[in-house]
Amino acid sequence: MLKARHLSKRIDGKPVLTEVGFELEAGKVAGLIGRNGAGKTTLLKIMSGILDPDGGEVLFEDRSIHREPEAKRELVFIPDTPEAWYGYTGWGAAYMFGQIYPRFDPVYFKDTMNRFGLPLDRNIRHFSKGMRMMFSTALGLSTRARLVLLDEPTNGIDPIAKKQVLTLLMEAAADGMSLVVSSHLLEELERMTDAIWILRSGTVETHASESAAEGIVSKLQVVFQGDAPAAWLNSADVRVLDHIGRVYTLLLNVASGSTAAAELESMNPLLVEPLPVRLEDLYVWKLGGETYAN
Amino acid sequence: MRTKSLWYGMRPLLGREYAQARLFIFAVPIVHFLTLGLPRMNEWLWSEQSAGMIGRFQRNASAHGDLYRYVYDNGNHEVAGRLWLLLAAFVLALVQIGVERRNGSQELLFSLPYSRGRIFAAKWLLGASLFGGSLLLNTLIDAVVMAASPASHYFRADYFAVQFGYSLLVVLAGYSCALFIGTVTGSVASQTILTWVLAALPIVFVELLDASLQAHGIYMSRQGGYDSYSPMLWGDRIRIWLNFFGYASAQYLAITWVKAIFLIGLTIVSAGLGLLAYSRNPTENNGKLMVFKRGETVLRYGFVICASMVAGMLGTELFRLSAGDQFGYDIGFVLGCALSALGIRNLLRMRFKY
Repeated sequence: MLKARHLSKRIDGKPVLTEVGFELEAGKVAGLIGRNGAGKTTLLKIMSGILDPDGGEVLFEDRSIHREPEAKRELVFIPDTPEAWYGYTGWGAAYMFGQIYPRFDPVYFKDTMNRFGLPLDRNIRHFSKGMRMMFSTALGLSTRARLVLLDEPTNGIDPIAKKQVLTLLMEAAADGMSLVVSSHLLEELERMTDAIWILRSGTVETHASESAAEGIVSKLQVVFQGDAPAAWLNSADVRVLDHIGRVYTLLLNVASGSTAAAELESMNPLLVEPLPVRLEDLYVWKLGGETYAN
Repeated sequence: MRTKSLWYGMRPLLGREYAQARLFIFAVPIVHFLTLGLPRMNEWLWSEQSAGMIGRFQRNASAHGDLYRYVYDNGNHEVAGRLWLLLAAFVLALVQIGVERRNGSQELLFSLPYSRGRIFAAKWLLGASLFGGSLLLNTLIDAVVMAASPASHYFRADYFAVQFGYSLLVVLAGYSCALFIGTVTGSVASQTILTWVLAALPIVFVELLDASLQAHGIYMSRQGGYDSYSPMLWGDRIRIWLNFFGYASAQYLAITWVKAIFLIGLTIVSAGLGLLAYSRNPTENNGKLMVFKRGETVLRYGFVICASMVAGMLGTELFRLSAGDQFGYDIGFVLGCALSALGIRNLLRMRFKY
C-alpha cells in the first residue's frame, strides 16, 4: 500500500535521510523510532507531502503522493502540535475535513470527542496541550482514511489520556486502518505494531515487531567466575545494561560473524540466564551509541 | 461537469481561507466605504457647499477635464480607496502566506489531497474576489450617491466603469506582487520588509544609480528638475515607468491604456511566479529570510549593491577630497560592499521566529 524508494533529504546542507526505503502493507501498523533529531518528523512530513524529497519517491497505492496529491484522499497526517486548527472549534474542523475526506465519519468524531470529554464547540486554541493532541487524533482517525501517519500522538498528555489515545489507535488498527506511529513509547509500540522502523544515521531499518531482535541481539544475565573481563565487556559486541554486585545484565551481538557468544562460553561463567529481549533493548543496542543529530 | 468538480475541489480551501481572513471580509468593504462613498456623500449630499461647487463648475468649466475636476474631485477619493485596498492587500497576503508558515497552517494545507498550485489559486481567488467585490460594491454606492446628488446632471457612467476597472487592476497587481513576495520569503518579518523594500526599490535603485553615475560624471537624468526646460533623459523615464505608487495614485485623467496594460502584465507575471514558487516551496526553510537558494543569491547581491551605493553616496559627502567626488564615492562603495556582504551573510543564516 505504501512504498518509499530511495528517499533522500538534506536540510541546511546536512543529510537527514539517505536512500531510505520501506514498505507497509494494508491493515498493518508500523512504529517509527529513533533518537531526537534523527529525522522521524522529516520522514513523516515527506510521506505526507509536506516536504519534497531531494531524491526518491513515496508511493501510495502505486501513485506518487508528490506528483499526484489527489492520492492523499486516503492518507492523513496528524502532527505533534495541531496549531493549524487554532481558531476552529471541533465542529468547524470536522466540517472542513468532511468536505475533503470522502469517508469522514462525523458520528465517530462526535463519539470520540465525547469519550475524551472534549467540548465540540470550544475553540481549539483554548484546549490544553493534551486536549489538543486528543482532538487531533480523533479528527485524523475520523477521516477513516486507509493510512494515518501520527507524529508522537501521546506527546504531552497525561497517563489516563495516553491510555485512551492508545486504545483508540488499537481499535482503529483492529478495524483495518494502517498506521505509522512515531513515538518514544517503546513498550506500547511493541504491543500494537506489526513492524518497527528504526531511523538511524539517515537510514531506516525494518524489523518485524514480534521478532525485532531475532538474530541481532540477545539479552543475558551473567555471573562471571572471579573478576569480570573488562576488555570483553567494553567490546563493540557487548553492551552492559545493568550491573549489581557480580550480576551483569548484558546485550550480546548474536549476528552472524560475531564471536561474542562463543567467547562468553569459553569464559565458563557461573550463571548465564537468557532474558526476553524487549524493543527498548533493541533501541539501546541500535541507537545507544548515537549522538543527537541536532 | 469539470467546472463543478473544480468548484467542489476548491470549496474547502476557500472555506479555510475565509476562516483565516474572516475579519478582512467584513473590514475591507467598510473601510473602503469610509474612503470613497462616505466622503462623496459628505461632499454632495450633506455639504452646504455642494450647490456652490456646481455654480463654480458652470461658471469656470471650459475644458473637458473640468467636469472631473469640479464634480469628481479628479478621482482623488478613488485614489484614497486604492491606497487603502493596497494596504489591505499587503496585510491579507501576510496572513495568507507569512503567518501561515509560522502557525503550521501551511503544513496542514500541504498534507491535504490538493496540489499546491490549487491551494495558491484558492488564496488568490479569495483575495481577488474580496477586493473585486469591495470595489464593485463601493463603486455602485458612489455612483448611486452621484446620481442622487445635486450634480446628477453630470453623472458619467464611463467615469465609474473606468475607475472600477483601473482600481481593480492596481489592487490585483499589488496583491499578486505581495503574494509572490510571500512565497519566496520565509517569515512574517522578511515578507513585511521585502514587500515594502521591493515596492520602493525600483525608484530608490534608480536614484542610487543616478547618484553613483553622477559621482563619476555620467548623467542619466535631466539636471534642474522638472521645472527646467531640459529634455527628459532615460533615467527620468525609468522613474516614471517603475513607480508603482505613481500607477496607484493616478488621477482620473492620468489613467491610460498603457498603464492598464502594464498593470495587467504585472498581475500575470507576479501571479504566475507566485504560483510557481508556492508549488515548489521548500517548507524546511520556513523561518529563514528567503526560502529558495536562488532567492538568497538575488537578495545577497541586491543588498550588497544597494548598500554599497548608499555607502558610496555617504563617502562622497564625508570624504570631500581634492581629487573629486569619485574617490570619496569609491572609498565608501568598497567599505559598504565589505560590510554589507558580511551582514547579509549572517542574516541569511539566521532563522526568525516571526
